[in-house]
Amino acid sequence: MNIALCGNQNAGKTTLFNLLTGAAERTGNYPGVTVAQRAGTLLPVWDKNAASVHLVDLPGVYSLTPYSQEEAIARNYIINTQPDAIIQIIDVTCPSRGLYLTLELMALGRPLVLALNMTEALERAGGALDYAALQVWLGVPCLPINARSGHGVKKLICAVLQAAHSGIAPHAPVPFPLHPISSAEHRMLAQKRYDLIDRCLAACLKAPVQVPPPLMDRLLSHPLLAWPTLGMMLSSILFIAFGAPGQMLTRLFEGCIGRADAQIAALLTRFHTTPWLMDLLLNGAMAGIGAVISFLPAILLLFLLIALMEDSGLMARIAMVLDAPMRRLGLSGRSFLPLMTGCGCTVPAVLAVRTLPDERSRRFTAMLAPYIPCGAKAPIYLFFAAQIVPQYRSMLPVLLYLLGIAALIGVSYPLRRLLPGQPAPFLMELPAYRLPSLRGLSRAMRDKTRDFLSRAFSIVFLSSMLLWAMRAFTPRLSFAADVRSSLLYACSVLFSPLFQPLGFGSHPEYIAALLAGLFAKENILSALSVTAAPTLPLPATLSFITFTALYAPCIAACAVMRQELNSRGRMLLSVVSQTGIAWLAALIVYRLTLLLG
Amino acid sequence: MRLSALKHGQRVRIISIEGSDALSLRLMDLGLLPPTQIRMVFCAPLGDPLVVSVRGYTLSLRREEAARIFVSVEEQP
Repeated sequence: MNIALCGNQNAGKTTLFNLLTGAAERTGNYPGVTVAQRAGTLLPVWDKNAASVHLVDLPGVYSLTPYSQEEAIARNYIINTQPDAIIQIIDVTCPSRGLYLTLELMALGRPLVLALNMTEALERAGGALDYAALQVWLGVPCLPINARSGHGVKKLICAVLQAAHSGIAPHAPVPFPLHPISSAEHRMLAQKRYDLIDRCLAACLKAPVQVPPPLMDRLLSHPLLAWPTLGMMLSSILFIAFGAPGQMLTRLFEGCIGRADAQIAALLTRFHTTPWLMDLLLNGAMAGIGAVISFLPAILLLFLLIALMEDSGLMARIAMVLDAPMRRLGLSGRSFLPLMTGCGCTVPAVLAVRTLPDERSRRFTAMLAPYIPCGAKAPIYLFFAAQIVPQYRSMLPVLLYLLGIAALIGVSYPLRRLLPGQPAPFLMELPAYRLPSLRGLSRAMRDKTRDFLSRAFSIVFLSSMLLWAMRAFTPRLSFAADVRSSLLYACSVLFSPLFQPLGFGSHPEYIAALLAGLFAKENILSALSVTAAPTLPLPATLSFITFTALYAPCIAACAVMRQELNSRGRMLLSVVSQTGIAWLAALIVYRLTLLLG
Repeated sequence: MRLSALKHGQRVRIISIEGSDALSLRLMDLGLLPPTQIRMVFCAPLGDPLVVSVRGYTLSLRREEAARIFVSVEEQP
């Protein structure tokens, strides 16, 4: 049995999906487009035949008339696959927009059940909804639920399965033509639907009392106070992740890894392991993975803060505040969400451009997102900050983020020539402030940890071993006495003229680290650790960090960029020009620091 | 008057929406149809975009887009 889960954005759709299926499995893409489809099987606690019930989480939509790419997907999925039943989740604190989608869904000829979410929030605000009366009005089963606690969900599933078995579609009071219609017809149908909704809600709903905007909104809309508020919010994110709290966690974790390292070393000595194997395991594999894993807490902290901002409703407000400045760059405030996601990882950032309504802003944002330094680069900053400016170590990451933003602003000018047109319209719902759910946050953290560890033990592990071998052996495969006779040196000589002007061209370890970083940015630090890279003089170190902060994104990010830009050429142009900018910036930093001594 | 000329806290009713492009259709889908009531809640620090309360939810839109919505001022009770 195939059940589709549908609803407006911010109605609690994903929360309900996770509750129903346990963990979200990613099972391939929607046909025709490369948007990941979240699907899963119903958990046995909800029904005895749960194993045969298949759920699909459709993207959040306001209407079935496609405006963004995601809305087209939701609509086409229902029309093409004809699910056995549709669950629509509605946020009852603003029911009229949810019911608009209901009236469209009713016309698609599939059994429909409404899950009325956030009923407590409505009651707390002094409102009330008569569920029984609503059910009579619409002729569709309406069940109050709490997607967070699971209250009422059992009854919902019961009703959904019943509807699916009966196969009876609701009677649609307003048609939804599948063929293209004129805007006059669209206007007439929309008017009809809202007239119906207004009459229905007049009978069923006691509206909540209107409250003045909360303090945060008043601060963020203040012509003067908004900017310091915003600055404080963003800098506190960087401070928590990279400042004292993040560093404390990192040191704690490093201690644990150090102890584990010593234990393994003792164990290997006890079993009289041959020296070269011990060197491989300790200085190759362990050093490589350890260098990356010790920064896991700091990166998780960064992800947690971004998730908190998104779940609480703050992200939408910041996008609103930044719309006017971003419009000067040819972007819309809506691009803020993908760019902010880029602080965590470039891959989801590039994928998030799908929420934008037009091709031009999707491309524009996808090409700019890699300039925001990703979370995997954070360990590199922290490592070098501790090395060169121990007393101001949280300042260096902030400077590098500012550098990334400066590059983004700089690149947006030529990019506007390349992608002419107007910034996308800014039309965005500001969701009510909500306390993020612990369950949702811990799930996100768990997924991130799993993802991070699997990268550390696969791609970072393999490239650490490879780099160790390249450092340990000569091109003739005998043990290398020093770096200059190693395979690593022989290979990096090819690239060294490129990096000579930047001050680290004669250090094969650094060049190898940059190459390894193309596969995953986590590799950079582990490569330096595995190859026992010598400390560079200050100007060369600064130029290396600058280059690292700005150069080409990892292959995973390049792959999604190619997908979203819909062209290999555009992706390559973007990646190559980004590396060129990184090179220039590093050269300037190197020359300047040399001059200033 | 146009919605873009709305002042802080002002309450108006929609008369009509100009245009027949995707954006106008989207505004209709969001429930911005005559005779819906709209109240301006606040605006962004640079004066644009506006934040309005309509049909029980909060919507943010630019003055440029708001200019295609014609409204009439409600009598203050």
